[in-house]
Amino acid sequence: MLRLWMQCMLVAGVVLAALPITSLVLAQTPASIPDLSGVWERRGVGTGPEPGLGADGAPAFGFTKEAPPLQPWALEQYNAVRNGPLRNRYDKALDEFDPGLHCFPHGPTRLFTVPWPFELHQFPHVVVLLSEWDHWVRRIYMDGRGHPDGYPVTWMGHSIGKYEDDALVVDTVKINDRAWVDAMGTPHSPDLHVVERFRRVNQETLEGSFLFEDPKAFTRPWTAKKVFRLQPPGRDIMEHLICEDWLEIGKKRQPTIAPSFP
Amino acid sequence: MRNIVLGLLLGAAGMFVILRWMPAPAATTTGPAGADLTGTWDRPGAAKESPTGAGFTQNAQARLGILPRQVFTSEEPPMTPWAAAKFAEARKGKDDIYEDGRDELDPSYNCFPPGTPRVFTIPRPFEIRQHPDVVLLLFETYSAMRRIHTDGRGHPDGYPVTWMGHSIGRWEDGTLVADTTLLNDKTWLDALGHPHSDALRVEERFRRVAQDRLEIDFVFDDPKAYIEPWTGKKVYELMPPGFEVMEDYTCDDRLQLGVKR
Repeated sequence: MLRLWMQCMLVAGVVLAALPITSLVLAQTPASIPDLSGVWERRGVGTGPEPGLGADGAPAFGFTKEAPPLQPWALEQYNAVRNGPLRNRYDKALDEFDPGLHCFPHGPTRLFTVPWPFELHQFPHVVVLLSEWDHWVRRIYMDGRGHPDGYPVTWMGHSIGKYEDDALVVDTVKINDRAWVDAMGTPHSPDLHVVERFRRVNQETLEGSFLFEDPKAFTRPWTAKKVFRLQPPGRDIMEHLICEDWLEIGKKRQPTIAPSFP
Repeated sequence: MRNIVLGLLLGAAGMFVILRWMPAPAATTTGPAGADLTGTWDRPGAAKESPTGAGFTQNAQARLGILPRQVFTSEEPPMTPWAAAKFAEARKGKDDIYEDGRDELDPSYNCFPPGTPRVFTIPRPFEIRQHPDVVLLLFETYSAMRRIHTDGRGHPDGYPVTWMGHSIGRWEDGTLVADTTLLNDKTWLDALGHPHSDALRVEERFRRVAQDRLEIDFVFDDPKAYIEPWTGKKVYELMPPGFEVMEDYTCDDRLQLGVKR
């Protein structure tokens, strides 16, 4: 009787091992994870129909052709930092009002609007984005954790992600509002919530789809798409430090209160 | 019939358990000499430290045979006269031999990046993540990172001098042997204020001696600063699951719009 049981279990096990059921169970095995790794950059995307736009229709310094749907205070700030001699409609904001040019870190999304590469590394429980600009490390936790209660607001925010078919889907909160959404000057509040989907549409192209939600800063959520080109082998990420030329022994740390933007 | 159905269900359950918990094969190292150094590492006992960082004083640690985190060795490195003068300057007024060097001369206190190997003397964790062709060291300090290329490349001709230098490595018997050069001379070598020049070359041997213990053996070779190469060692403990590296960015309390470069 026992032997019959064991024989049945053995047969069942072998049979089921061959069934597709088990591959569903192993939904996140290496074979099914899309390969998004590489050094990615706007270089090679090509220029678009208007000065300042890439061939994908997205501004080099921003996310969308259209101005984002901003709340009145945010629109006022956005216009103020763009009120001056711009090279084209989609140029970055004026340098004198740009925190990024006063040694403030860029936020995680602004790093997608700089003419510098980033490296995407996939590890079993974390995806890491390494930007050349200011050597930032952005961790996207893939191990099923949520955003921890009480997590502080940081420059990079807190990102969690999962794979859905051929895309990496990322959810990010707790981004410091002293950095802009993009280089064009789009402001946000600490409540900014960003959902990104990264897909490799072909060997050379990584497409990022972005959803920006922030009722305090935007009148409604808005979306954008930008593509990046795979850089050739040998295109190494180099070291870069923001404001490196400002460093000087004797310039000590002094707490300051950052004035609000104009 | 009932036995067959039961058998099938049990077999399915068995396969589910086995396959679900089998570790996914992850290619992390080059060849059979490689090892998995993956993890978040910090000073032994760091996970249990109180949030205020209370712990033994450096001298107490030394008496217990624990090397204080400020240094790589308890012996005095063999400095050249140039280096000895700089070191003396950095230690003026310091009574405790393991106290940090003078703030006003400390590059890290002046918003400079820590560079390597100084970053190993700052009490914050780091992560090791690896692929077959590169090992990444992701430090909490300054959000600094190092790439150790294990794809066989050499140090490229004309590569610039940088804060973190250029590192290449190879696997030897489960040990990552790394060679780092092209380091700028703007950082201290350790937290006491030992200097180095841009001729510094660092050899590191990373070895996971136990599941939860990482040891790094250092050789510092800098003819301008030290009469001969000297050695050091750091020991790290694997941090528990859920121990996250937090964001650290030096001097962001002094950012001010209008204060340009």
